[in-house]
Amino acid sequence: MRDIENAFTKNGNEFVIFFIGENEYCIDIMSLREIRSWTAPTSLPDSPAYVRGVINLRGAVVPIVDLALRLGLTPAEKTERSVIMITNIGDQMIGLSADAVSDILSIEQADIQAPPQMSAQTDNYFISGLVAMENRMISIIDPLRILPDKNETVAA
Amino acid sequence: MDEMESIKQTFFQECEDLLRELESGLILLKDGQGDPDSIDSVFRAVHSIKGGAGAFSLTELVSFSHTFENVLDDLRSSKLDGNDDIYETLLESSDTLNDLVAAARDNQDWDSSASADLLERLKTLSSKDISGTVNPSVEDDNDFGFEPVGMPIELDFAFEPITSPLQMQDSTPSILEFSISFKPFSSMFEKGHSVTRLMRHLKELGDVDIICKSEELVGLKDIDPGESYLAWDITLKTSESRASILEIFDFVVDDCELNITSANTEISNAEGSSLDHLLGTSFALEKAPMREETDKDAPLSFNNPQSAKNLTEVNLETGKNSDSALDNTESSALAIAAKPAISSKAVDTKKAPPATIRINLERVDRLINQVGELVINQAMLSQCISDAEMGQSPEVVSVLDEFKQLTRDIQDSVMAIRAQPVQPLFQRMSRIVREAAQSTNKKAKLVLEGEFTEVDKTIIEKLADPLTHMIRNAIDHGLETPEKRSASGKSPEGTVTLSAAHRSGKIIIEVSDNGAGINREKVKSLAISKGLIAPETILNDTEIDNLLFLPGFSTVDKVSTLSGRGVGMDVVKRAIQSFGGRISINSEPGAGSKFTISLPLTLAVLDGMLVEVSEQTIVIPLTSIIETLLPKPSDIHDISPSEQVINVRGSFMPLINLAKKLNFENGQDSKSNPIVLCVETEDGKKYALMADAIQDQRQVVIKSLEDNYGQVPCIAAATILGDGRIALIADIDEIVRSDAVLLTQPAELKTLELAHA
Repeated sequence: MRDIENAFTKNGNEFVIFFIGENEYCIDIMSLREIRSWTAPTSLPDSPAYVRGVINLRGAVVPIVDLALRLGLTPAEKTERSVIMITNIGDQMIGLSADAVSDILSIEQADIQAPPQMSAQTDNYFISGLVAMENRMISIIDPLRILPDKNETVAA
Repeated sequence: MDEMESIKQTFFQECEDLLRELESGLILLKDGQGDPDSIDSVFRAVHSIKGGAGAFSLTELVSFSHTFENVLDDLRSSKLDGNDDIYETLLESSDTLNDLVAAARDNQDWDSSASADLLERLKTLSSKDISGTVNPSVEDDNDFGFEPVGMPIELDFAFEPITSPLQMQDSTPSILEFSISFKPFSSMFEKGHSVTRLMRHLKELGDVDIICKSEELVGLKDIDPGESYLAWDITLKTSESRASILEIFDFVVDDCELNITSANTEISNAEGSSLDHLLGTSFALEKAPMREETDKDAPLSFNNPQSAKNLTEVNLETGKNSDSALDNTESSALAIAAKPAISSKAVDTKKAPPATIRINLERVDRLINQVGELVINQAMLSQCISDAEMGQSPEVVSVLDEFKQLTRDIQDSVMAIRAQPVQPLFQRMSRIVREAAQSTNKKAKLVLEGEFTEVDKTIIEKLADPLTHMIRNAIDHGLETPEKRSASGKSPEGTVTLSAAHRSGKIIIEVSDNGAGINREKVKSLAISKGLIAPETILNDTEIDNLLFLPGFSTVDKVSTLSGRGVGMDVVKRAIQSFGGRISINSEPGAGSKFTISLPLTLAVLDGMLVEVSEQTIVIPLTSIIETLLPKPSDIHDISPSEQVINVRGSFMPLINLAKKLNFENGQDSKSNPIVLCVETEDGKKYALMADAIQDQRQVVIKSLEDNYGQVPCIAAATILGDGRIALIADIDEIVRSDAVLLTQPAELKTLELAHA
């Protein structure tokens, strides 16, 4: 499973693999700033349900997006393994929640398949690619699309 | 090109300081409090601007400042006697110079006709013939008050071979005699220096007579081989300067007692010069290794000395530019080089300002943020310690107390970095006073009080517009014409006082005038005629005064060019409230009016009341809270299924349930005994907010939500509590605004229509 050499190959990017429920997802390591254990955020009024609130990250107020809710899944109870992945998106810092972080893998561009066009379902919208690995399927999350749309926030 | 641009920016920044100096100097002179120093300093300011402008080929600026400078020079050399008219003209010129600098900075074209008249007046004042144009680059400095002291510093750390005496003989024939007393410490030998080598080098400089002093030498059996027992007296006859001698001792100067005295008190040639003396002395004191030479043939790269301070900078520049072996001794060497420059200055800078540096505001903000983090962390640590039940140990308690104190001190110091005196802002107002008085044909002078009060920089910036408006108002509406003033037994010249002070954790800024005061009859009838109040309304004096703050109010019937451009005191009030301040009026008929602005010390912190709303902590800004109540259930009445009012001592106020408003309701009913906060909005309307409990009242550090997220309805910002959690700061005006539409729609609409009318 753990493929250290793989992580240092030149081609392709490194991705952080994490779980939401039983599903495996990954995110480009370059967009990750740090991974923190789960802390209960302060809720924001009138915000979309998937915005769980804000936490204090060394003095900065960082919003937390519950990836499970964002992806249209049922969020699991937060456990000791639950994490917040702090991502840098543009000049914004956003925390993404996941049930557990498992691995760092280097994935070559050639191994990434485009997500199949299923329907106009929004859940698919956040996936920028799929990676098949042994019996596993890992979906690549595009952090840019996770970002709560400002207009959407106001509308909600 | 970029580099040039950045130098230019520095020049404009310096211009700001210089213009300020110029204006304050002129005001001092006008008030008859000036001394020769003031005239020198105003002259220097204009001269420096001219010099810098010349370097950047800002011809308009150069020619104006040249004319200006000539008048000042006449004044300085007493060819011209200063009187009020002249100082008025000079102040006007200083304003124009200000505009010129601003135009040059913003790359705007300057309409020379605007200043032509002034330029003419200046020329008639000046005795000098200023025909022809001024060529900025070849402008000489002969008329300037002090001679430039050329002192390029060469920083060669004795890595090159010593110049042979023969060569030196050619250029400087005079021979000096130095007595050197030299006593090495044992540390010198530990570092591997040898006395023999030093003596040999001395010998290369000229004739030496070396006497070894062995008084301290102990008997052979007591001798410590690591100790130093010997000292030397050397008489050296050389054509070299003292610096060359010092150069030999460069590396050992910290490890010995060295005293070099010159037998000939007079130093005959140019190369020696008094600088050598100064440097020599400072060497003996500072013991810093360095070699320097003075060479009048090597000119300074800038030949435009502005002040002793600038000169020092020039020297530092020169020192850095020379291809010297720069190591960490550089800074100490430079520091010493700078000292003689200051002590040999010809300009007296008695009140030398404390040294300052310009820092990017972003860095300061980052520091403030980090200190805020430290404060929170310290609170968390205290919590952990008490949780771990280590709080009983007296050591832990005392160390923790010290830590707390230290954190608080650091926080205060960091906050102080952002704080700046209001003086520059206040001084800018003197121009407003001059212009306003001129265009209204009134006589006014500005009196500043407490201008050294320090206020957060952001607040200072935001205060400029409201203050300008208030000062104009004070002159336009407050002060009477000179005739009227004389008739009522006042001095024809009115006074506008601008004062700043710290008062119980707030900054109080007052704008007062000794004019006629508010004509309350007129104000009331005007408000009635404009439909702002009902004719039968009974108002007390304060209420009438406060009518001035209503939108769409203007006391002067005809709109003057100054104030009353449709923007009234309501705009001022809104601006001040927008950064957490309050404004009030105090007026006495016949004696004048006083506007008092009270501001928070900083925009980074806010006094808030922490209330609990559906298990969330919400911060309510203390400035908007009037009172807190524990209502009886019978005080609360439903007026519709979704709206409630509360009876507070007989009057009804709309009641807003915060939990409902903020969508925090978790399905559970609000607590059986809620608390109610009475708040007042910016427009003076009162509302009651219902929350579950009051937790605390304290200062909170304001954190933006917009950096990483966006605007949240009804929430102004966030803050971090002592336990590291985030609490939201409520935006009272937004909370009630969305409610107000439902409750007070007709009234709102009416006011709006009036405001637009």
